[in-house]
This record gives sequence, C-alpha cells and structure tokens, in this order.
Amino acid sequence: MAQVALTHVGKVYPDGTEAVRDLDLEISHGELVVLVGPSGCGKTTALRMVAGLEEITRGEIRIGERVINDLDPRERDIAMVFQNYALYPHMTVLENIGFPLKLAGVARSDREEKVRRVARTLGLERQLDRKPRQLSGGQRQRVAMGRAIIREPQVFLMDEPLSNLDAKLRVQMRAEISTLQKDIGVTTIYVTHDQVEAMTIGDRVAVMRRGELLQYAEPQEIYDRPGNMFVAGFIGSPPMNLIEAELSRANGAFRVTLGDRQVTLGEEAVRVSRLEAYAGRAVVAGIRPESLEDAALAADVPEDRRLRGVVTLREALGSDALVYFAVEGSRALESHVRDLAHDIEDPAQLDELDRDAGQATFVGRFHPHTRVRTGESVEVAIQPGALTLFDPESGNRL
Amino acid sequence: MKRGPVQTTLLVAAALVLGIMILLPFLWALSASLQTESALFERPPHWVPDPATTENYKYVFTGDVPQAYEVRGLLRSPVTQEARTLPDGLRNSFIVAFFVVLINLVLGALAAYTFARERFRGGQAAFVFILGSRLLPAVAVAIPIYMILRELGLLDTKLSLVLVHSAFTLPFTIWVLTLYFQSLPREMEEAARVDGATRFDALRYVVLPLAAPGLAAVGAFAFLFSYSEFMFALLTTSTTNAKTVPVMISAISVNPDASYTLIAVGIILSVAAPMALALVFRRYITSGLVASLTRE
Amino acid sequence: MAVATATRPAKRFRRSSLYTWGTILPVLALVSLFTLFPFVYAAVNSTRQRILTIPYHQPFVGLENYREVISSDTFGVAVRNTLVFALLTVPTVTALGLGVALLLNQRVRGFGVLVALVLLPWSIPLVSAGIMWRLLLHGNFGSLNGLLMQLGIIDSYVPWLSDPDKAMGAVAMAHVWREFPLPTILFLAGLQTITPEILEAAWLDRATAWQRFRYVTLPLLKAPLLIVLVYETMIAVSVFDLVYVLTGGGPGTSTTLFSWYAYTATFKFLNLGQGAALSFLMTAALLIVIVIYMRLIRLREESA
Repeated sequence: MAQVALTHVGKVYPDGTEAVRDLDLEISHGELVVLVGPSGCGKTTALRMVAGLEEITRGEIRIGERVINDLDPRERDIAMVFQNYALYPHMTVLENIGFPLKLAGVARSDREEKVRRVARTLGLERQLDRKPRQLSGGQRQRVAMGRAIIREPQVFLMDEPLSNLDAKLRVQMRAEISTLQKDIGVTTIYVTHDQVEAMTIGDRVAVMRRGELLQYAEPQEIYDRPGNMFVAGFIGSPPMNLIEAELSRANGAFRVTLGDRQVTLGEEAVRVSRLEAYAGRAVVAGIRPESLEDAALAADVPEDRRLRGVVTLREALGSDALVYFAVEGSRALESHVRDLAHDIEDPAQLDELDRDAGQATFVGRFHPHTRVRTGESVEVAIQPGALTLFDPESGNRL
Repeated sequence: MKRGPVQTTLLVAAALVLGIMILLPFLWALSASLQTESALFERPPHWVPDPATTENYKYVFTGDVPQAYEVRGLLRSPVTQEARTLPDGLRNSFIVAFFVVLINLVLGALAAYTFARERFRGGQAAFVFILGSRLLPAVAVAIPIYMILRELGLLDTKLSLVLVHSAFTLPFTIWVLTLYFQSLPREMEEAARVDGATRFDALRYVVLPLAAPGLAAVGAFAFLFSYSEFMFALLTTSTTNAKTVPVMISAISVNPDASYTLIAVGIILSVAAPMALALVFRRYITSGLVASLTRE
Repeated sequence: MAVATATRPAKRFRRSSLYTWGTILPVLALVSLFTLFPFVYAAVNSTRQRILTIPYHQPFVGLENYREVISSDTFGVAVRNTLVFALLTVPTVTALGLGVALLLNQRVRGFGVLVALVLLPWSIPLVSAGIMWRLLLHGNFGSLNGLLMQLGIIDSYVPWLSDPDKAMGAVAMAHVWREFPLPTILFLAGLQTITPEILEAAWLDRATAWQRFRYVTLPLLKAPLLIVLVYETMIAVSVFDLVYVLTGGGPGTSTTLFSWYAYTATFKFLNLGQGAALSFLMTAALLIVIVIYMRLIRLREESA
C-alpha cells in the first residue's frame, strides 16, 4: 500500500518565512494528486519535503506505514521529475536512465536490459547513445521520466515537468503522463501552476495559496463548488466573474442586486440556512463565463435572470465568442475583496488594479453566432444554478 | 572604428617586441646550454650556437665529461658533480609535485564540496580561516616552520615538502573549487540523491565530472606552485634525498666556479616541464586565475 | 497521531555533522599546522634569545630581539630597499600588464597565440627566471650586454649585478619580467567584459582614442586594478628567490630586501630569535596592507 499522508506539515525557513502552514493531505494508492496554486504558494516546498530535499519543520509525512521525516531521499523509495529535468549532461541517455540502478549496484547487463525496456515504453530507443544537449525538450522530459520509472518506486513526485515545453507539446505530454501513470499505477504527486493541467490530469486537486491548503477535491467538485473566492477565480479560464452584491429576501425568495438588476436565486447550490444570516448584507456573487449567454440566443430567460451591460470587447474563439461587457450600474471590486480573490502580494500591483476601477467588467462565453458588437448594449442571460455567493470578508462560499 | 594598415603594422610590431621580450631569456639559456664553455666566453657571444653541441646535456645524464672541461681542468671542481644530481632533483620535484596535486584534488575537492553545499555551524568560520591563512606570506612562516620541522626530525624529507606545499596550495584550491561547485545547479545533485546517491556518490558521479575544468585549473596551479617553490625547499633539504630542482640550480648558479653551460642546462631542464604544462593547461589556468581573483 | 519529530533532528544532526567536519578536518589540521601554529611559534620565539651557537642558554628576553633588530643598521636599509623595490616594480608591472592586455585584446589574427606565450615567464620557477637573467646580465659574460653592444647602444659591458646603483634595477627588471603575465591576464579578462558597443558609442560621440581609454575603459578596469595593486605589492614585499640567485643581497646591502634580511639573520647569523622577530614584523606589515585593501574595497562598494 503506497498511500501518502501529510499531517499538520509546516515549513519555516531560518529567516522566519513560513512557506507551508498546517498542511493535511491524504493521497490514496495509485492516485494522481495535483498541487496547484500561484508561485510562492508552497506547493513546490511541500513536494520537496515529501522528497526529502527540504527539512520538515513541523508535522509528519508518511509513505505507506513509514514515517519518513528523517529519512534521506534515497531511503524513501520515491522518484522525482524536476522542472528543468536535471539530466546529467555528461552522461548518455542510457547512462542517465540507468543511473539509479547503477547506484543500487545492479549489474551492467541487467541494467542495460531494463533501460532498453523503459526506453521502448517511452519511445527513446534511438536516443540511447545521445547526450541530453542533443535532445529536444520533449525527449529530455521523457528521459527524466524514464529515470524515475526505472526504479519502480512507491511514489512519483513531479515538479512542474511540463512548464518548459511549448503549448502544443504540453498538451501532448500531459496525455502521455496521464496514460503512463495509469498504466504503471504508481501514486503520484504533481505540482503545477497551470490550472488547466491540474484539472485535466488530476484525480484530485489541492489548491494552495500562501502556504495554506484551500480546497482538496475532485476537479469537477472544485469547479462546481469552489470553497472560496480564490479557488473560484483560480480554476477555470477565463476566471469566474465576481461582483459585489446585496442579498435580500422578498416574497420567500432570495435575490441579489447585480448592478442595477435584481436577480432571483433559483437552482443555486447554496445552503439556505447560511443565506438567512446574510439577508440584507453585502455578499460577493460569482458567475462563470460559461454560464452567461446572449439573451437573444437563449430561450425564454425570465427578466429576473438577466444582466444588462455594454460590450467593451469581443474575442472570437471559433467555438465560442468571449464577450466582455461592463455591467450597468455596478462598481468594481473593493481592493480587499480583490486581494482575497487573487493572489496579489505586491501592493504596487494592487494600486495598478485600483486605477482601472470603474464598473465591474464581466466576460461571457457566448455562442459564436451572437450578434453583439463592441459598444452596443447587451442583455445577458444567467443559466440556472450559475450563481455562487461568497462572504466578502472571509472569501468563503456560502 | 576601422583600423588602418598603419595601425595594424604598429600592433604587429609591438607584438613582435613583446614576443622577443618574453622569449629572450629562454632563447639565450637554450643557446648557452648547447655551446661549449669556451665559445660562451667570447665577446660578443654567439646567439646561435656555432658549433652546437649536446655534450653538456650528455654530461648531466651520463657523466661523459665534455672535452671543454678536460681542456680547462674543471674535472675536479665539485660543481660539475653537483650538476650530475640534476636528474635526482627533477625526480624529487616531480614526486613532491605529484603528491601535492593529489592531495589538493582529493582533500581540496572534498572540503570544497562540503563548503559549497552544506550549511553548518562554524562552516563560515572554518572557510574564512582556511582562506585567511593564504594571506600569511611564506617568509613569515618559513623560519618558524624550519624550526618546527627540525624539532620533529623531518628535515630533508620529501614528506615535509609535500605537507608544507599542500598547506600552502589548499586554500587557493578550496577557494576556486568552492566557487566552482556553487555555480553548478543544485538540481542535478538533488536528482542524484533522489536516485539513490549518497553525498559521495553525488560528488563522484555528478559533480566532479562536471567540475573537470575547475579541477584541471587547481591541479595545474598546485603543480606549478610546488615545482617552483624555493624557500622552504632551500631551508629544509640538504641532500639529494629531497632536494628539488630550484634548490639545485640555485646552488649551482651561486657558485662562482660554476660552468655556465651547465647552469644553462640546469635552467632548461628546470623549465621544460612547467612550460609544457602551462601551454597545455593555459585555458584552465587563465580562467582559474580570473575566477578566483575577481570574485572576491 | 503523535508528532515524533522532537527527538529525531538531533540524531540526523550528529550524523551529518560527522560527515561535514570529517571532510574539512584534514585540511584544517594541515593548514593550522603550517600556518597558524608557526605563526604563534614565531611570536613566542621572538621573545626568547635563541642563538644556535649558544644552544643551552635561551632566556626569555621580552622585546629585546625586536629592539635589537629594529635598531640595527641593516634593518633600516632593508626597509628602505623593500619600499624602493615595491615603488619601482608595482607601477611598472601594473602598467606593463595593462599595456600588454590592451595589445592582446586587439583583434588581430594570431594574437591568440600570444596569450599562451605570455604565460611562460609566470609558469617557471622564480629561481630559474632569476638565473636566466643572470646569464643575460652578467658583467663579464652576459649576453644582453653583448647584444646591446652589438646594437651600438652601449660601449662596454655594464656590470648590472655588481654595481650597487644598478643592482636593484636589475633585480626589478627580472621581477617585472616574471610577474607581468598575471596583471596581463586579469586586465585582459576585464577588457573582454567591455563590449565593443560601449566603445563604439563613445566613438560615435566623437571621443578620441585616448578619451575612450580614459573615460570608458579605465573606470571599468577598477576592479582588476585594485586586485593587481594589492597582490603585486604583497609579492614585491616578499621577494626572496630572485635576490638569492641574482645578487645575494649585494653588492653591499644594495639589494638586501626585507625577506633576505630575515633569512640571513636566521641562517647566516644563526639568531633564531631575531629571525622570528623579523618574520613577525613582516606578517604584521603585510596584514596592515591587507586591512587597508579591505577597507578600500568596502569604500569602493559603498560608493558604487
């Protein structure tokens, strides 16, 4: 059984910076879990603690039944793929992949045989005599994977393995890694800052920010029911639209004011009990672009499920049209709310954003045949169940 | 900023002057070593040996006394005997230098790797201490070292030379290698550790191969230092057990009865090896020098 | 789930501590034995009267050795000679090094070879260099004399090494010949960091070659310059090998440099106490130079 369990894991550097705070994570055998978040969120630090390349300041990490806190990397039965591949430049591909076996004392002939087998799986048979500098990015990546696979470890650790590849290659390799992992069936922890990667490749996704774990669930769950504003804004592209609104109760139904419109909450997945507590107060409402549509193309959407705005930009994607519009009568987000929603550490950046304060701008994924044009006003339909509400102080979902 | 033909000619001329300036002493020593004693005493001297003879070299290696000496009756001069010990001197110099290089490469690399990669209490202090010792000039400790070696009964041994030379070359070696190791990306060593390497394995299979240029540089320096070292060798050696080449040729040269041709042979023999080394390793030497002294 | 990390770090610390100190200890031991320890030994011995011809009488004499040494005539001469020598050689070596570096930096075909050539004087033992120059400069048989006479520059052989006025110059010449490669290499490296674009920009600004040199090149060479100056000063002050083979301190005391003086006091006069005192003084002087150097560096960094 190769489960990995992190319990109350924390990392504090000698100068006082807390990179990881109270991380609790349980990864089942054979699962591929993605740690995702903006740079500096502690995901790489957490991975390196599992690897043994960083000291664990607090808490405990287990692989299977063993507590591995004080074990050297080589004693943990893990393998790691580094962001820059960390291939040994003076060794050939064959020697690179075979290196772990060499260190373990495996005889040369056995070693070679195993390396060839692994190379065949990865399509590297013809590169075996080459040196890393003679390989393409994708090939180098595969060599790094080969080196990790060959030891048949209990856990794979991957530190942004695809971030050095171009977009097309990334998509291709993503699929390859996913397939490979399923075939081999080894427990994997994968770190990335790319939320698309996280969503597509992970069995479960752990969203981190500033050293803390915000949400740990299956991709769809994170998408449909984000735990807080940051997760909502981080996952999904374009990110979820957020706007400050006021919750009110009228005639037994809950309504939010979005801009100068009142929208009734219908099939939203909210807990009515919590809504009661927020009645008459400010909340933050979120709507994913995918849930907005040109009202002219949406069938029979009632008045109380519509927004009105003026189109500022229209981008044709082919499959959709991204339409940016200013929500009439709205206000841009307050800076502290923005801070909760994004990961803005630099106050200068915050000032920059404040400068384009004005009206809240939403983006919607409309049907490509929408007729709206820049400068025109538009009526936008909100799909059922599309509204997510957040507490403006804590950022958590209601 | 094109350069005209006049400027180019001037530059080439300057280069020629430089070349002559550098080579003049070598050429004369070479020429003198290939002449007979009497030819040497003519004024003005022949720059090109005429006639050229290798009898001086033959004497040093085989003991066949050149005709010139018989004529002048120098056969009984103790100096000429001294010249015959030159091969022993060369042997001693090479042996000592070899072990100094070995010690530098092994102990130096090991210590440098620790300084480069490990963070530990007292590490900074130890590093500064080792480097700081290099600032002490040789003269300041030569005499005390002589006295210490005398007490220990280690005078006139190759061992003491090896130890002293190593003590003097290790700081520089560690300084350069530490810088060098630090410049290698950590990821490769981390990958090695995850792959199952101990620190020694990582050093041996990953770091050292990549640090080969740095190792070549420090090795060359250590050799050149040890080979050329004069003062300690002078003070502590007295017989052909341990006398190094610099000591021998200086002894020959300060003797007023010395035959100049033999002195010249001594010089040529003494500079052949380091010159060859410098030529072969020049790239490493220059980059090592620059790296160490400009990255204070 | 108990958090069992409190006791473990200690074990790991001890284990890795053994490794780290284990790799450093041999070097530390060697270095201490031959640098720190002798230094202390010298300091201690300098306060004792230790004359090898009076072996059993080694009383503690406090600073007597120092007093004797400093008040001796030779001391003053040695200090003066050393200063003169340093003043003579350091600027020369620096200027020559810079000049040759500028020359080598020119993009002329074949100049790459010159770099190899330039290393040669530096690579050989100092005594060999010294003896080579002796062969050239010898009053009776020196070939340089012969050459100069043939070229008509002089009328008769110049007794470079036996004339008190000229001996220092001769030693300086040999020293400069042997040392200039080092500044050359350092300056060359510094020059190579000055990209052609910077100089072209200056040229477009109508700067003459001299102005380009003075206002663009030279300021950028400050770092190597400082290093060269300090290093060459240290070297000049500790010159020994050349004196030994070229002049033996003479004629008279014209080339008795400080290190030579310390050597003769110990080995000719067999006064270990005084020799130790002199060594100590030398170290002190050099350390002062180093401290001044450090200060200069810090000043430069702060103003940068």
